[in-house]
Amino acid sequence: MGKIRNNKLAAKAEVMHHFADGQSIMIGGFNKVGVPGTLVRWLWESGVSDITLIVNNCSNADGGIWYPAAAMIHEGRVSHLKISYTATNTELRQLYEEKKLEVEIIPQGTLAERLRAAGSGIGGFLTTVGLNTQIAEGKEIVRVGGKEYLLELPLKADLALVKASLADTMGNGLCYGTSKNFNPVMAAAAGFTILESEQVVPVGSIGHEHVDVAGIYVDMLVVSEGEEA
Amino acid sequence: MNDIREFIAKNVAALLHDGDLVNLGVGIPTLAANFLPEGVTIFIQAENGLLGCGPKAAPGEENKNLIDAGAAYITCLPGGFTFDSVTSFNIIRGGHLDATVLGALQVDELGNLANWYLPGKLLPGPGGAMDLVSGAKKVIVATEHLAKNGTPKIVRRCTLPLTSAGTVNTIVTDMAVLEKTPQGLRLAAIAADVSLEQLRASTGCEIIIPGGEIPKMIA
Repeated sequence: MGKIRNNKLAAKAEVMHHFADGQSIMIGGFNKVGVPGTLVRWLWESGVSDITLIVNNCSNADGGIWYPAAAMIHEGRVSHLKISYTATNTELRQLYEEKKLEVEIIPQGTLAERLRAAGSGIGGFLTTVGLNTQIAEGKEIVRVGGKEYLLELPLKADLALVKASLADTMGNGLCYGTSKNFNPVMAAAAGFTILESEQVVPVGSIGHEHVDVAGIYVDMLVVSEGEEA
Repeated sequence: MNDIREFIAKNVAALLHDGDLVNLGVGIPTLAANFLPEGVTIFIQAENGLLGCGPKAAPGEENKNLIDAGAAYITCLPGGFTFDSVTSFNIIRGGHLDATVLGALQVDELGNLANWYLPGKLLPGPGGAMDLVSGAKKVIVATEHLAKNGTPKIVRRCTLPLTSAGTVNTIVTDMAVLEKTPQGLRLAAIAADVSLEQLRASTGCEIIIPGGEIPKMIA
């Protein structure tokens, strides 16, 4: 069955059915904006563990929109963390240094591009970002035209949890302001994509030139329960 | 000098040109936006997906979806636009930024920068810093000359994990402006109340002092 469906709206129970132990899960958002806060909370409530979490950042500020994901890290339910900006989580340095959690630090543009590669059928790409730093450890160095590059590989996941401000029932999403960030690219990079939207509108209500998250990448749509930054 | 951070920011702003597209890191670099010369058009890019950053939003007028990379609610100037992370890093890594201004934990005479990890103490992560220092046409480091414990931040070789190797062009501190050259760091300007002896004593590597009168930093 293809992904073009007129109504992808799903209830919480259907979403919970898609969370499982051992999954890799990418979650959209930059700082507190564009984070699918309701899905993050449901994921935490599901009780799953041994999760590979792929995020730009993950603040552990009490009551913040990321808090349920940070709680999963704190509870030892995340086995691998792939992340770019760690400053907002005061617990990560210790977990990283004591190796209680496998943390892969990824430069933000490399993260975006690895996600793009995963969703675009690109087998890898060459970049100078991270050359001669810890980031290069264990990675292949490729010479092209006398210049050195790091070979970076696509980053996929089983599940993507992404956010839009407005979505039609086919899953076409519009993201206001700076809430786009990783949401459009993650939607394409996972085996199963769940879109959370603050508002759901009939198909055709979003101007076709204003779609940020393409409905063809979306498997399931849910309405935000009010989590905000 | 009542505010060292503003003094540094003012001298950073003087290095930017009409028509430049720049990215300003969190902290002192962001302050540089307050000191841009009159009559110039400079656009600021925020790596979370905004080009044409305007002033901070007035209280009560915040748009919950419009933040800069430091999570402050801001505005977008006419001619600016918002975009996703892929586009943002196309701009950054593709060589479309005229300058990037970042802070430092350490910076050395080879133009190496360390600012993402202080083992045992601090793990901010690189965020977009590694991308910025690799992609921007000019890399400006804006930092206090000495670390909080009084040791020099400008050293012969960085001992902390690197953000980039050899990509820093200019260092602006509360004591001096230094330019990286193939021979080492060359003094471009010095603060009015700092002597060469004081500068040397506060710096962990050799500084090349050009002949003639040394320009003073903007007070």
